[in-house]
Amino acid sequence: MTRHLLKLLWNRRSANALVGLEVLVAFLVLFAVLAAAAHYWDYYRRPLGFDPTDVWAVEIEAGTDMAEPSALNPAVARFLPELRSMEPVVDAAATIWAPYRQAGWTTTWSVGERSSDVRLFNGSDTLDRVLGMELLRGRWFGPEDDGSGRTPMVVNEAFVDALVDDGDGLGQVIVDEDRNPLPGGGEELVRRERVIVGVVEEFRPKGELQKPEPSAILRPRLEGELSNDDYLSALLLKMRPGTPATIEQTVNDRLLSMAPEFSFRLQPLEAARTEYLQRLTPLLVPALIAAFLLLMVALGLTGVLWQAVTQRIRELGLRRAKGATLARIRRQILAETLLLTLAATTLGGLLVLQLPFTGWFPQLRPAVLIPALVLATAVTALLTSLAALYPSWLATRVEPAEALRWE
Amino acid sequence: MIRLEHVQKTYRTDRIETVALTDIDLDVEKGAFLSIMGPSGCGKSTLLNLMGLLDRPSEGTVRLDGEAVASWEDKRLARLRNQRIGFIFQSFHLIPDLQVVDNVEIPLLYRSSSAGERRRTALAAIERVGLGSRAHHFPSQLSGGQQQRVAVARAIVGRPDLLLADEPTGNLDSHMGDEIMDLLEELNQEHGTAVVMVTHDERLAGRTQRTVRLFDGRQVA
Ligand SMILES: Nc1ncnc2c1ncn2[C@@H]1O[C@H](COP(=O)(O)OP(=O)(O)OP(=O)(O)O)[C@@H](O)[C@H]1O
Ligand SMILES: [Mg+2]
Repeated sequence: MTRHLLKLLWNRRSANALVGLEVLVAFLVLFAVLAAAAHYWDYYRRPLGFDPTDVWAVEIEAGTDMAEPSALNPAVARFLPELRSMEPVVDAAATIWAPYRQAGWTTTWSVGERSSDVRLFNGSDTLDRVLGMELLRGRWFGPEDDGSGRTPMVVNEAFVDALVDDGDGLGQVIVDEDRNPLPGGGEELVRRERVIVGVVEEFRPKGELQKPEPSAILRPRLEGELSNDDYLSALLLKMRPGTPATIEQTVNDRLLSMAPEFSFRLQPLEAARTEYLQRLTPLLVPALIAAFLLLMVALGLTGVLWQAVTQRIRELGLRRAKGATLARIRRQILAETLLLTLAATTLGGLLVLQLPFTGWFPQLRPAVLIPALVLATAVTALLTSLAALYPSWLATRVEPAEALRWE
Repeated sequence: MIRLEHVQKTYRTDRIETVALTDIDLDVEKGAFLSIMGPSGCGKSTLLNLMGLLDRPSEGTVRLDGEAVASWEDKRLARLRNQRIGFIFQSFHLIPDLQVVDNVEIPLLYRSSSAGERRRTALAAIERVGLGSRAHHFPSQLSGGQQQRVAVARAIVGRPDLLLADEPTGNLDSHMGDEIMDLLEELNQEHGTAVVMVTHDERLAGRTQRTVRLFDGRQVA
C-alpha cells in the first residue's frame, strides 16, 4: 500500500508540487509569524532584574539638555537624605535614567582577547534597595569603595559570560582608555579602571522588550572631581504601599524649594510601565497583518487541498467499490497529505535552518528558531490534515455508486 | 446467492424524482449466467449497482446468501465488495494516474497479500485479457477497447464468485467481444462464478442461461 501511495504521489507530481508549494508558503508564513512572536515572548518572559512596585521616578530637567554632573550631582547629594526623611519614602536612589525611559548608552570593552558591547547605566549606592534588586554574588557598591581609584560596578551574568575568562567575575578589573581631544590641540589619554563588585542575574531598565545583553551598573560620584561616568538625571523613591498620588505635589515642592534651578517630573514606575506597554500597541499592526496573512494562507491551503480531494471523489468511490473501507480511505488521504506536508515542511525547515548562517536575522537564536520551527511544522500538519479530511469526509458520506458518478 | 425482493429505486434531485427501478424480483443463483437487456435509461446500471452493494434500494430488500444487507456496516460491505464481487463498470473508472498493472492490483490492496504476489496475480489477469504488452501503460495511452479489458482484468483479479459486468463488450469489435465473452463463460463454467452481464447484443445474450428484460424500470421478461 505504501508503494502504491508513493506511486500515486509521484505520478501526480505536477499537481502535488503545486499543493506542496502552497503548503511550503503556509509553513514559511507560519514560521515567520511564530518566530516573531517567540522572539518578543522570549524577551518578555525574561527577568527585568528590578521591581517597579511602589517606586516613583523623579526626572530632573535643567533646560533642554541633561544637567552636567558638576551642576547636578552635588544637588542630588542633598536631595537624597532630605527625601529619605519624608514620611512615605522608604528609600531613595539616583540613576542616570528612570526605568522605562528609552535612553541608554553602549560602549565596547575588552578584557584580554575578549571584547563585547556593554550597556552602561549609572545608579547610586541604594539603588538595589529601591528597586528590590537581588545580587547573585558579591555586594552592592557603597561608601567603602570611596577612594579606591577604581569605579565599582555591578554587572549582569551576560557581562560575566562575555568578558570574564574564568571565575565568577568578582574582582575583575576592566581598563579602558579614551583619547580626549585637548582644547589647544593634541589629545590626552584618559585611563579608567573599573572593578566588578557584584553580579545580578539581569538588569533591563528599558522594559520588558529590551534585548538582554551584557550590562553594567556603575557607581556615580556625587561630589569631588566628576566625569562622564557620573551622569545622573533621575531620582527613584521607594514609597510605602498605598501612598496617595498627592505625594507628587509634596515632593515636587520640597525639591523646588531646595533647588529652584531645576524642574522635576514625577511619575510612578508602574504608570511608566503601563505607558511603555501601550507604546507597544503599534506592534499589534504587524500582528494583525500576520493574522490576516495566516488566514489567507489557511484559506488558500484549504482551497487547494479541497480541490485536490474533490477531483478525486470518483477515485475514492472506485476504491470503495473495490473493497476499501471508509476508515481506509481516510487513512489514505491523511497519509498522502501528511507525506506531502512532510516533504514541504522538510524543505521549508532546511531553508529556515540556513537563515542563522546568513547573519541577516540575529534574532533567530535557538530559543526562537526551535520552538517556531516545531510549532510551524505541527500547525501546518494540523491545518493540512483538517483541510484534507473534511472533503474526504464529504466524499465518503455518499454511497459508492454516487461517488462514482460525481462530476 | 444474491436476491432482490420488491426492489424499487428512486433518484431524487432537487425537484425531479426519477423512478429508475420498480418492483424488481430477481434471484441470481450460485454459478448462474444471466444477461440483462433493455433500452438505454431503463435501469440496467442501477440494477447492477444494487447487486454490487454500491447503492441502497429505496424500497425492498437485497439479500446476500439469504441475509438482508440493509443493516450491514461499512466494514462488512467493504469486505464483501472486495472478496465476493467483481464489477466491470460501463465507463471503466480506471485511475488515470496509475499504470495498467497498478489499476488491476487495486482490489488486492485491500486484502492481505504480499507485494510480489499481488504483482504476479495482476499480471496474470492482464495476460488473460490479452494486454500483457500494455501492463506498464497509462490508461490514456490505451484505446477504449483496451481500457475496457483493463476494467475486466481488474474485476476478475480477485476471483470473485459474482461478476457484474455492465456492457463489458460495448467498446469492442465483435471478435474481441467474443473473446471477452469466452472469458466470462470460462470463469462461469470452470470456477462456478455467477455472472450478470448487461448487453445490447442479442447474439451474446443468447449465449447466457437466462435473459432479464427491463423496460422503463420494470422487469418485462
Ligand atoms: N444518480 C442519478 N440521479 C438521478 N437520476 C439517475 C441517476 N442514475 C440514474 N438515473 C436515472 O435513472 C434511470 C436509469 O438509469 P441507468 O443508468 O440505470 O440506465 P441504463 O439502463 O444503465 O442506461 P444505459 O443503457 O444508457 O447505460 C435513467 O433515467 C437515469 O436518468
Ligand atoms: Mg447503464
